[in-house]
Amino acid sequence: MSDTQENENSSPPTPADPPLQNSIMKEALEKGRPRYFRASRGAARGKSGREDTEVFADNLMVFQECALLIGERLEMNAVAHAIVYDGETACAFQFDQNSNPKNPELVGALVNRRIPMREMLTGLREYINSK
Amino acid sequence: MSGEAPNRESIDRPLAALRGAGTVFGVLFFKGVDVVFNETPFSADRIVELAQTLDDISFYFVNEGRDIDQMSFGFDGGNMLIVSDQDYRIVVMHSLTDEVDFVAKASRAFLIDYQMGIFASELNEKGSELAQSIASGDDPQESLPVEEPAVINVAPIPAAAEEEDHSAATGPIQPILAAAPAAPATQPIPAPQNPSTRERPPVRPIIEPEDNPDANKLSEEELADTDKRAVLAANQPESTLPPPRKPKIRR
Repeated sequence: MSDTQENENSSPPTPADPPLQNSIMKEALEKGRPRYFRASRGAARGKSGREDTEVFADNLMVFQECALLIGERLEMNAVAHAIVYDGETACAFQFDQNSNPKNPELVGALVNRRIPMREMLTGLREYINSK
Repeated sequence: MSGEAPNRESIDRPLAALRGAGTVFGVLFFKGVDVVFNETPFSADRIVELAQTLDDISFYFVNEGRDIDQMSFGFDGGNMLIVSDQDYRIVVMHSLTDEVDFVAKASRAFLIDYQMGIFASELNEKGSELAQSIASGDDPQESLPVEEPAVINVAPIPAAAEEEDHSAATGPIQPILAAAPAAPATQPIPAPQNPSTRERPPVRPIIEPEDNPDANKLSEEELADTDKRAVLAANQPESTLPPPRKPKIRR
């Protein structure tokens, strides 16, 4: 999926650039704030660096697959959101209900702490509405 | 944790309480692929399939080296929270999304209590086994590879056998004494100091006065030794005592 990702950074990062050189990501890690992303048409976009966006894209694919597998067993196929605690980090995504159903969009977030799930969902909604 | 829960009540009561909390409409408890508790509107077959799917997902994350212990999914029919701890997984279905943290805390608390119950029951079993081994007199450390001391036969001995033992015990001593050197334990006393071998002066016979009136007189040798004796002074008055009476001789 990395070849389809679009990075919103102004300057394209080089392989030698460490992820912490991104000021947005550095500030988010220091303050424990979510790093938000958008995904649509098989592509993810973020402002916290290419590597961080790739991490989110990988998590998005895995957790979407998990949600589909679980939903199939109980015939609850439509997934609205997912939040996962992976060690001391949290990952979440939520479909944008305002997006075109034929071309759905979703927003996601990564946090370097076990943020409360309700707070995570509230942040995603606020990010959707801030568009 | 491979032990079993102390009793069924420790599972049913808290999960039934969780089932009735807030907008919860289904609670599941799995141990691996085994369904331990099921109170959901879904059929048993679907629950078994769900258990298998969750076990596969957990296996995948473990192989990836990821520690994913809590997941929440929002479906069109409701929300599903999955809290896992090792092989134990609890699945809670609830309607209101904002309750997810409350439900997660309650589920986590149940898992901790459940595993603590298992741990306590294991300790109780070990304690009861130890108590039984102590009560039966068995040494619980017999299985340890300790070098055993030499076996001492402490079987009771009958009275007749005791006598034989006594005679047998004293028997071997006699030849040892016979074979012992004849030398006395103490050194012999030299002849001059030995009263048994010392020459004694001849016993002087006592002569009755009638047979020999001069018997009481001193001999010349004895008189010669008078200078060694205490003698009366020249002016010593004679004794005022009456002279000794002569015994009368009856004829």
